[in-house]
Amino acid sequence: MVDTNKDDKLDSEIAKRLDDLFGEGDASSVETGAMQADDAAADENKSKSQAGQSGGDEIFELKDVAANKPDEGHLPGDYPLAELKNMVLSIDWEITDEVLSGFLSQIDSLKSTYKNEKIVLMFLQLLGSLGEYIKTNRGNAHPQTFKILNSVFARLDEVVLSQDMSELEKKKILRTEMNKYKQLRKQVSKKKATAANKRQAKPPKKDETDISASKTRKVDMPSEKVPATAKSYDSLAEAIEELKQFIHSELSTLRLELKKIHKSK
Amino acid sequence: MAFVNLKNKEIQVKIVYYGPGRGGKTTNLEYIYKKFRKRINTEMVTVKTHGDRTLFFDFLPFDIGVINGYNVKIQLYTVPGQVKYNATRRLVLRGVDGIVFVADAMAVRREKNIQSLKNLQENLANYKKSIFKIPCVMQYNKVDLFEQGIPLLPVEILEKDLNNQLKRPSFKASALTGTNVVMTLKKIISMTVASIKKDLR
Amino acid sequence: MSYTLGQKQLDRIEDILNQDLIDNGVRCVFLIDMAGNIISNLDNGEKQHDIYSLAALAAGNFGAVSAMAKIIGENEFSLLFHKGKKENIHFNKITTEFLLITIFGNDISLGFLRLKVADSVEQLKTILEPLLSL
Repeated sequence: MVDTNKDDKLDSEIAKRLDDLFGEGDASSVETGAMQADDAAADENKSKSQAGQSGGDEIFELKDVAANKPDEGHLPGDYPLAELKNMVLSIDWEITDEVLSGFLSQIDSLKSTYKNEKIVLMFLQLLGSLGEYIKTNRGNAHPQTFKILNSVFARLDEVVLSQDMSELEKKKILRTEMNKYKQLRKQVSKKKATAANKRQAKPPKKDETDISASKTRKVDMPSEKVPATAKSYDSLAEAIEELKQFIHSELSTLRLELKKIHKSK
Repeated sequence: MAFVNLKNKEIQVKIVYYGPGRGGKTTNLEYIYKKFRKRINTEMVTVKTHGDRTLFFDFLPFDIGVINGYNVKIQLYTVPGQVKYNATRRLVLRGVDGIVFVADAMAVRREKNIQSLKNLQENLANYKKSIFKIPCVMQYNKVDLFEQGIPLLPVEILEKDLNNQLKRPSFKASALTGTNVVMTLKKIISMTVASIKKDLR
Repeated sequence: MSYTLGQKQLDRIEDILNQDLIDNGVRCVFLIDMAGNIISNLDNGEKQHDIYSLAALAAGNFGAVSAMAKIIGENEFSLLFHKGKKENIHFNKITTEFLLITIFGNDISLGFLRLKVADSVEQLKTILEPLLSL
């Protein structure tokens, strides 16, 4: 009985509130007698069937989120690749001249920082080549380029941040990335060949004559810059060839050194 | 299901206006919004096509004040009525607490009304809700067209087609002129709020 | 607004979408109007989606997001993109009446996709813009 009283009280409170809100505005309402009778009947039925409609969820208080402790030795200020990482993430998001120029200048700057670390330098070379390729070709770049760019950066990040990774391990990682790079080159050449077939023979580009001259250069160190006139897939292939040769020579030197160390043990 | 915030002592109640395309669902909300703008004091959101058909939903929120210590906020939604927007309708029905079924009283729309009601039943079932249990009010809209000589379905037919099993409160209405728009609204609000009264205590 | 597209125009639209997007690894692309009607729909043959529901929801989604933009004082957002674990979806408005929706996997970077979509949009505009003045 108490419940019924409470229900009535609630109903009348709701009705009163709604009347306050909407009451005066409904002067034009017309209800048929049949409708009102239906109302009463339906209300009765309703009151029998309203068992399980429970309310919703409590709002949980937000717990305090513990401040992230910076990793030892990797305080934001010490992380040498921070700016480059920003650039790589930006490229992933949106490719603009601004971002690409920033990326390439960051590569140049890091090259001086790491001029004595051959492996890191190689990674930077790879990234630089990829960056130049994207900058030149934009929407015509091979779709896989970006995946490889991210992969090379991720591996470089590993190599730079690791404190106890051996030179051999680093080289292994570099080699994996180089292979991906080679794969990309093949795909790019294929794409180029298909496009060329479609277009029929065209007069050779000016770039190709530049590149044939540069092929005769003796390769002691990787070229400081990828040919500035790189506007075709051939120039990318040339850069890759140079890098390959450099890696081979460096690996041979290191193998010899390792053998010496091994023998002396 | 009504959203209850025990900390803020707030209850949000979702009422959806459902029915066939061009039946008057949006017009109901537009009438309420225009008429009571000053009192309601909130904006109405509509996502429409350029042809004024509801594309996603119309949304009109307002407070009805404190009841049993809880601040009760009503959220009115309409769904797009055209058949092709079924996925959207299903989305808007999520968490619904009360339904106003806006049937089109025009004789030519008889079949559309029935299909729409069936569609409502299916979409509610998708959320494991029963059309027989959820608070619902039937509105037979466009009665104003009678004066223009347009053939309308008699109430008996509408009741037989749509309300025979449900036996819900029903109103003849004209969303354009406002006839019974507010009565419909008051009825569905009180039915819906009453149905969650356990949470008010 | 009503518009009519002839077979030649539809073929041209398909060519553009195929060359710029599908051939570059996009899984599915559809061009719709703001009411959710599908003008053109292409996929790479791997998966079939319920494109009718997708189209209606995409139009509704875009409409809802545009309404949100107005509420926060923006005319419109320049990027509408949803990232999934395996599949992602990108929206691009073409004129005031059309939407280009692309579904792509993680093998394509968003940046690259945006470049390709921008190219497609420029070409599609030449076909679609004249329709608006009719």
